[in-house]
Amino acid sequence: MSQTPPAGIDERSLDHAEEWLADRALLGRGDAGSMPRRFADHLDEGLDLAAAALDLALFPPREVPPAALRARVTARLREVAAAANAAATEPRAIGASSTASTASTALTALTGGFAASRSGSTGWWVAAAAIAIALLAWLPSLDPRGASPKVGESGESAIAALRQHASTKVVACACTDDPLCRADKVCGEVLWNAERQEGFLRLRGVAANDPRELQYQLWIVDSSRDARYPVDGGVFDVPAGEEEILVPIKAAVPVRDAALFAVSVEKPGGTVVSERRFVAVAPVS
Amino acid sequence: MAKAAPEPDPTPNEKPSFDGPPILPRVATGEPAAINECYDRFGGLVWSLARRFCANPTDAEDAVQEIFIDLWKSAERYDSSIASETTFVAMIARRRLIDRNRRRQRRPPMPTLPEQSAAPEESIGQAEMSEDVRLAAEAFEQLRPEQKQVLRLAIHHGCSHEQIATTTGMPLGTVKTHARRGLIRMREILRAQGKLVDEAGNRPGGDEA
Repeated sequence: MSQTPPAGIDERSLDHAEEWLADRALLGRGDAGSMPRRFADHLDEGLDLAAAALDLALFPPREVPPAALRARVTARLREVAAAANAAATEPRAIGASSTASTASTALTALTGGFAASRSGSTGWWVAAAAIAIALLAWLPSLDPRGASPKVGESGESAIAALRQHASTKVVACACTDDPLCRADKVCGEVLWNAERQEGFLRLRGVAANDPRELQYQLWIVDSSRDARYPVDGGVFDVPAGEEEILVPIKAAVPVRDAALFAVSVEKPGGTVVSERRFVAVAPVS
Repeated sequence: MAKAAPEPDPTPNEKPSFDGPPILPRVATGEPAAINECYDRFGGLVWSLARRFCANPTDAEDAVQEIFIDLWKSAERYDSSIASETTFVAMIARRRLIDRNRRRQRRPPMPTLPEQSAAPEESIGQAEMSEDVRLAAEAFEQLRPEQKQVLRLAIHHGCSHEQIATTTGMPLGTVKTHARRGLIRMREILRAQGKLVDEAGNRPGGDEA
């Protein structure tokens, strides 16, 4: 290895670090494993850049992106820029649960996996949409600034901040006829802000679950995407004795045009292929 | 925040082009006009990479969006004395694409062409390519044949060592060695030619950049 080892690092250790960096450049961070912390300040991105330059040299970019993609990407970048500016002056929402991140990882596999193996499985979203349309006929309008439910202070603060945004949508959440939903028709609300990619599900009257047996999972139907690939909004539990819960929505991928939120009952940890047992739906009118 | 400049013609280019004055420093400052310009300059590059790594166009479009967000957040790290903007953008894109594939715990189907092709798909003398890319092509030709074979497979779709071992029949350990040494050799050659200096300005042999 011709690179001069930094002070305090022997050549053998540097070789080890170089191997790690080469793996990272070719295989990604996860496959490369954990980087020895003591090397972190001494190594650069030279191998990543070499791999990138080689990629461009071996396989020159030739494809022209779809014309519509430009508008999508630039609009999203403006949202990000605006959110970054807003974040500098406004408090952030409370964090999502750890179970949500597990489900997010799982759903990341959904889009590709479905495309490969379940290309014809549109049925359950069609069914969900049908339920939503039927419920729209009798759903009462929900005052977006209605009485505060009994949830934690931090959650209420985050919701209050989100409500102040003009672009935040507030939609009523309706019970299905599933026995796990015991509310009388309306069982909560969804607040969603597409610019901030942030939202909350407030749910009440839904039966407590045993996480060892089942969990609830939130899905988001994004009308800008293929209907077969709903976006995972996270996995959550309803603890015993809690009449009302507040769930931060952690969308696994950007949601551009939310058309429907739905809560399903799934196996512990969530799923990438839903059991299609819905307890609540919230259509965005 | 800089004053917004008139937006460019949104008509996409007929062919990806990466020439032009530096754009990433403007992206780093959050200049609104830089959003469109950045996409117009690198959209073709990022899209081409995404199409190669993603199973379908829908997936590729999502990936492109994520990559540009990454780029927006990473632009301030760009150093023109280390690499070209093109190479930096490609690095950001590759990281995201490889990471997406890894998270899915699956990779695109094995390519059939790259292993058979003895040379880059085309002569690298493209006018729109940056100098470090051209030098990378020259450096690649200096590698040992086995290193070239392994790197071509690893680079093309981010194939795992195991996949490459299966395809080539090489032992797994040999594949890893060729991949690592080949890439490290690439970096050394590029540095020796004045490209890809490290952050401390070091070149092989301890030269100052």
